[in-house]
Amino acid sequence: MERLRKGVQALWFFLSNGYWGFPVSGTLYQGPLKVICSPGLNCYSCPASTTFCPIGSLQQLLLGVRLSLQAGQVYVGSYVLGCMGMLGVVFGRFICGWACPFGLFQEVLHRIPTPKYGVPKVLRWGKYLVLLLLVVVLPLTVLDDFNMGKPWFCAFLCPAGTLEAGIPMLVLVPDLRPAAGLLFLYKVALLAAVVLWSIVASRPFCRTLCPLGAFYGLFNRFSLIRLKFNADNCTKCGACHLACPVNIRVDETPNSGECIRCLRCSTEACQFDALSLEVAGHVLRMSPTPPDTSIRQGTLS
Amino acid sequence: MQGARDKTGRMRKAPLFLFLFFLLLFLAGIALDEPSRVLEQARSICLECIGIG
Repeated sequence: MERLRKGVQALWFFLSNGYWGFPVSGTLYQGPLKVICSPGLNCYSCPASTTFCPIGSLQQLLLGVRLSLQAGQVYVGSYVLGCMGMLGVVFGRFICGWACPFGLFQEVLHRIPTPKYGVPKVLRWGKYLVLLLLVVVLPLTVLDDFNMGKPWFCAFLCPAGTLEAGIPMLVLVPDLRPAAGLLFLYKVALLAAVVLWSIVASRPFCRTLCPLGAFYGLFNRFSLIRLKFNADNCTKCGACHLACPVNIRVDETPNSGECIRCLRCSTEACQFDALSLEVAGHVLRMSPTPPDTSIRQGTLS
Repeated sequence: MQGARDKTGRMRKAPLFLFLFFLLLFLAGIALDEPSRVLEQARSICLECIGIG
């Protein structure tokens, strides 16, 4: 199952970033696919990006909402929020585990062999603050002389934008290089911090700062795809907890807002059929793999 | 779209209502021509967003 998940993640990475004509054209993809919402965090200023980033678009619409209303255009973010909400209701954070390019990036980094550390639980609230403040409240309320807000999350926090768009655009368009000042240096430092943190901790950005993960997490309890826990089969061995990359007590909160639905707990850890995947009320039984002794002995990071 | 079921086998209505709510938002956005604005934004490079300028 893990191999299948990696394949799906790679597929989504290339679907979301499928425009490889940018070295010739010198600019980003301009086609009609960009009206489609990227399910995962993927900067739409990336030259290879084929879809729009829901967080970037939502901020852009909110920061200019006053001007658009003055112009008689009701661009309040309903299309973008509708896309995000439908994805959230159907998939929840399944998207984080299976379709997010930046999630894949962090997982690849985490494979680098180093000592591994946890992420303090209190930091998980950070992503909800980021969603509320940087994506919604500040772009709506802090205005410049032209009555326009700022894309706070993209401008001051998003490491995906620096990785996928900032650095590639500077390489691709030399004329932009003089414009890269202190803000760009700060963003590169932030990206470096996320990269280093991802090497030693599992998916730290997703767990502490990602506003899209926070949004999808709100739907984990209600989504059509969710985990089903069978308490009668559970032996409380804790194997699911040890296998979980985001450190959830799966036997206590199988539909926690933190769960990215990687399904390691049900397909690789649990040997007693206590966890299964429920899709629109239908339980999918996933045949257990042979016992993983490293999990049983508690040696997984 | 089929709704999910709860522990007692009853249909869970929350996903259905939530989906319909967001579908309405989505359709309202299309009716208000928001996709054209989204497309316009997505086709241009937001230098401020990527820390340049």
